[in-house]
Amino acid sequence: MRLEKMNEAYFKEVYAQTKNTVYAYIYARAKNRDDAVDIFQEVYMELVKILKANGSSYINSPAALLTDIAKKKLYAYYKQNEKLDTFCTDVFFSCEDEPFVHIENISADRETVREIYNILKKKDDIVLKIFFLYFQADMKLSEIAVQTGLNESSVKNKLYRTIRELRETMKREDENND
Amino acid sequence: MTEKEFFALALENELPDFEEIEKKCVCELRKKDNKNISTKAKLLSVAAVLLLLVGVSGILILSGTNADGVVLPDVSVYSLWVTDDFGGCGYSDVNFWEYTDNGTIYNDFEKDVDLTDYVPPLFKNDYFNYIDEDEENTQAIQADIIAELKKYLELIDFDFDDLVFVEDEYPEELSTEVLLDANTCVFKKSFYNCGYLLYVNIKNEVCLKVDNKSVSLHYYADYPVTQNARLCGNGTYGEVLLDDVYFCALAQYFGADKLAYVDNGDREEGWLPLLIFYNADAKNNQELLDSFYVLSLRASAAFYAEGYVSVSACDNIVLAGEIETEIPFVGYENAYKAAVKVCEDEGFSDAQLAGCTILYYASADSAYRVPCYDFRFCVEEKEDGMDCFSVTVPCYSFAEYFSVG
Repeated sequence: MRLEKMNEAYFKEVYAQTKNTVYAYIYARAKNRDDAVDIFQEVYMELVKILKANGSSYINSPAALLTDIAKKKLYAYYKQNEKLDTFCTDVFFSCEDEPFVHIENISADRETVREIYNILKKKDDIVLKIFFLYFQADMKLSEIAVQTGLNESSVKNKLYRTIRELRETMKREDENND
Repeated sequence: MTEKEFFALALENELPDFEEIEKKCVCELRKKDNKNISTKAKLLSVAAVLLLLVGVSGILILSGTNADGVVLPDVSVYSLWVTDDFGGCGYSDVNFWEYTDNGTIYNDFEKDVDLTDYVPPLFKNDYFNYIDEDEENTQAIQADIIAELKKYLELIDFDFDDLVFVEDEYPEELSTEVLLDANTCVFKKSFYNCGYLLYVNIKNEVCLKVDNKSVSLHYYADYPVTQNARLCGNGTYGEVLLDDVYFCALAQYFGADKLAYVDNGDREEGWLPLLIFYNADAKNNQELLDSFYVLSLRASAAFYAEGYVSVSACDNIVLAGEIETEIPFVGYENAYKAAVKVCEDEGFSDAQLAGCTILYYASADSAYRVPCYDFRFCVEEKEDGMDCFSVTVPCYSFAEYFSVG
């Protein structure tokens, strides 16, 4: 197989295996979604450069390499006197440690889904981030706490409080529809 | 669907267009890049230049080759105090270090800790204050630093005709461009890492030779690194910093039976400033080892809340390693306990504990590998002064070391 083809196959494989975790890693640290997407693309473009220069045999651990690249890209992206982690909060609102209740059989029409997303978008970036990391990236609360630099209980509080709000919203809408 | 699935669906909008990005990357991958020189070609070119230099100057600049035939860098004489890492963006020098009017240096978090004596003479100037929000001001300060550096270099008859300053963001250009001209020495200044770094490509050490008064600034390289990086670690990982090479080469040059290695400080869960100083004038292994001076300020989620752990000067030499842990700790005793827990979690026995810490490093970030060292912890407690203890890790032989992988 020609080198280009080998690199391409290798890239596709690595991309498929790593894209979600790499994106979650970046998203957890980026200020917002747009930044995260930009950085994400830069990271894989960097991988492309490395592959072109050195070939796939050069890379022993693509996941570690990508994490390192992501780290550096984040640095570079926010290097202009900004702290990466600006979303630390000292707001600790009380919240009982309720067990996570999964509501079954949600009727998720496209409009409801979009509406929920829009509500989330209006929240603090950190709330959206926590939601994303929890529900999309499937991370544990403790992991999210580490990634975001927040206290675990704070992560939990923000998540649960927002979930409660969303449930209320959905409930109201259901009632209105009825 | 479940609520979890529902929210996951709602959050799909937060995902990038993976397919689109993949297409872009693949497209880029397929592009022919005429400017790109293959690694092999680069190495051959470098080898040619080196051979030429040997022929012309009569100076044997190669200090050896590893099992793969990769040329080891010359590490003959070093005469600058340098550090490779001035911190990251999170709390880099910009907001970390303060330099006061009366000449003391301290850090923002522990105002009462005077670090002045921890800083080598070369840096006892405005070095730690070189970045300013005002770009022009920053450049002016940078220029001052360079002027300072030049002054120092003049003292050792450094030939500035061969000095080139580059502004590029990444040092990889050095690999492709400068390697081909080993007579060009490159000092690279950059804001990369939110710090001011001076880069000297590993191969350019040869051109820094001036009548046996060689100078080499500690180099820092980013990805992709040259094949030389493969000298370290398991020999295959492509992301080993050239720092590793440097330490490996030094160790080999001095016939070291142990090697000081310090992590670059950039850890997963925090942006850790770790200053590494060493006496580059060391004439033998012991002198070199004795000169190592590491100032590390451990940061983690616990950093802000519970104080800091400082790996700092202790009996002339401190070989520092970071303990990757999520366990909050204050002080080294607790750090050690944290390491123990990590090791236990990883299934290591007590006897393997020190090695476990190292292995844990490797697993946490395989860019960093530690062949062997005395692992000495010191902590500067607020009230109790310095407290140190050591763990000695058996060394690999260098034959093993260079042939691993």
